[in-house]
Amino acid sequence: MNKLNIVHLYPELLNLYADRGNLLTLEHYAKKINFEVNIQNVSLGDRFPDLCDLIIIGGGQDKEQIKVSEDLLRHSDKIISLINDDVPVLAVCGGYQLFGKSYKISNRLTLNGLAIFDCVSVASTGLKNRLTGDVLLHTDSEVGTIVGFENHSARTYLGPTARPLGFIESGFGNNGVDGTEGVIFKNAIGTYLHGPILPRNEKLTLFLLKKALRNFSIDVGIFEMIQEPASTNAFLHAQRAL
Amino acid sequence: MIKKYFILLLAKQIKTLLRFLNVSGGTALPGLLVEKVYPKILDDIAANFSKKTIIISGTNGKTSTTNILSNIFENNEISVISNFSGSNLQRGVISAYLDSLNNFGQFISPKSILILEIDEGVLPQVAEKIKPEMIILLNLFRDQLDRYGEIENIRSRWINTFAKDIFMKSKLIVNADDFLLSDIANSFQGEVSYFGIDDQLLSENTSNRITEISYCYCGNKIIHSLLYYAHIGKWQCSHCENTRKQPDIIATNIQLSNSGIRFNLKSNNDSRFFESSSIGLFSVYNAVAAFSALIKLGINLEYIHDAFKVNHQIFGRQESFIIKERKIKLFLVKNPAGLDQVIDALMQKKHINENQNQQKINLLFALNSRIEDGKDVSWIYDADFETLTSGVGNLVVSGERLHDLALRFVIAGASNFKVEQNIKKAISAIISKSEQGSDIYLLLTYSAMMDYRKYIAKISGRKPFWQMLANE
Repeated sequence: MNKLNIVHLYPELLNLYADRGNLLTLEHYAKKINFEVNIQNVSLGDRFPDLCDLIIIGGGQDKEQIKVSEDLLRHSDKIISLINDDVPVLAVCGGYQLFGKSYKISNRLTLNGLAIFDCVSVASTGLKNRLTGDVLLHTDSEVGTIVGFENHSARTYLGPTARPLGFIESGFGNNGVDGTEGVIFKNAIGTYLHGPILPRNEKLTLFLLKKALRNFSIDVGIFEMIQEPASTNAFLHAQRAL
Repeated sequence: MIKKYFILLLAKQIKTLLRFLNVSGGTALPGLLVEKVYPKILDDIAANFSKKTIIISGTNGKTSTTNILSNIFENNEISVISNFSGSNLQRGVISAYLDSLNNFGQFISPKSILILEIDEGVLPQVAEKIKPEMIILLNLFRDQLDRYGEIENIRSRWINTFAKDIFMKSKLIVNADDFLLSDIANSFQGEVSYFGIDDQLLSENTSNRITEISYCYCGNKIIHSLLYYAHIGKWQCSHCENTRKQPDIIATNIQLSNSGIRFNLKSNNDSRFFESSSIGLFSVYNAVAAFSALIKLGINLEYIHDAFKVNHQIFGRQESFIIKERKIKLFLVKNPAGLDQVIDALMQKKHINENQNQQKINLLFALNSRIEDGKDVSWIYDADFETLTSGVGNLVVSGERLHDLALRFVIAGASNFKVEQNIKKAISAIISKSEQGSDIYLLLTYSAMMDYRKYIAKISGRKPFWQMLANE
């Protein structure tokens, strides 16, 4: 059986928000096209695996992000070269912030990120300042409309060279002000969306799968045949509710 | 003063009226009213009850633990004022207090004690006002992140609150097996006692389930020599001195089975065997927490044992009903740790005779996302639906978020199940799929529980336990 090699960064630290559902979803669809998923967990101090078709990083609390940020920088060159080779990335919430230029946690502490995305994030304290709720956004790419749930205190501001993942119809997005949500650079996607994001957004799941398996000769038509009615139902239900 | 009594009386009348009209149990609204027009009400409660109040908090098990405690007191003719129905925000507390007063604003039974389950989020403000005699902390798991934010928010607020010297005369009863509670216990200035479980046979070697952050405050990894579920077990820091305290009251020789739990409880030199028809390891923790509180109040183990025997079958939230010769059992599920515990119990994981060929279960699962359920349903992806799916025979998926739930089951490998939002049709579907004489399990989020229980109680022709209790 062919293998889809997924690198999952710091799963024991950045697992706050059910984002493991994204892995389960990729596994579910990969199975349908006869790919076995090989999940390689990278923890603090580990070396970066040789085989990598797709990178996943989730969200965590500030305390855990501090631990991760320094360790993540060790893999900077490797991750940048993979992304330049069109390897897809799904970076959610805390992981998204660390793939940007910096994350300012407090006046005294700013974490350096990988600077793959041209954006900076700034923490905001207090429960009332959290941006929480259902989100609906539109992209101008093949992933179409996306639904999800956001819950973040930090605000992310895109720089001049950054391209947002999409524009918000409902919800807050990157910062609650400029209408943007997430970021996309080559095949790397950063987003605040949980839900988790992949189960209900089949087009996005298939986009990541196609890009991850771009070096295999797979008939594109096959991706149309593995669509899951349950995913469409859940997507439509979320869209209607907003 | 006159104004105060007028408000209390009015609130009481509203409560009576609501109950009479059968609109609701009348648990929250009168409290909400008093909270608005007479915000000093909590000081009042404190003045009358500080020395006779037990507060119970934690993510899972609050209602069950409250009920065990209350039943044992009431069984021995000590009157209890409590928010039994799980209305655990400030308004529910006030409402319970109103119940203790007669129409002249005097206490109905002056010797009664106040046993309150308190929501994790409002615990600091309520505890600081009431300064209870005893605080029981059960556990901390990820729960309703949309409402509370990160777990660390709750935990740090608890640490700040319970380090204050106003609790110098209070007693803290805390789960030794939950390392997230250890900092709170360490900085508590009053008397602390620990409860826990010691049973090697229950430990899992590896867990592919999501657990809470396994790092000590010193920055190093927490390791478990025994891990019972989620992050609960016998733990120590891999680097510093921080380690699980030896529990004062401890459950051993635990036997889990389809028909309930059995365990040995040790305290000082005494040791007793307990059994209950509630299932699951989490039920052991609830019972041990309640017993620890009673022991610390000076009640001896033999006495607890006898009192528990009389009414152990009514505690907890595992109500059952008979409909068309099927036994329907209701389980409240609201977060990954709680759901995983129910899944383990239903799948008879770690059960004494788990090697026997297990029959596939009949399951109806209803998922809602109202405020009381948590608006965000992503938590279902942190729960072990893969194990659940492998053990389910007949499945009906329901609730207002049925499409999200159906998708979760599909991703876990389920196929060929019924998706039905209508309660009546969903119940009739699972009944017609299942055989006569079989068990049907209903897993329900909070508001789904309310809706389903109402319907099931009606068609079963029998009142659920909690109403029978209230009428006695």
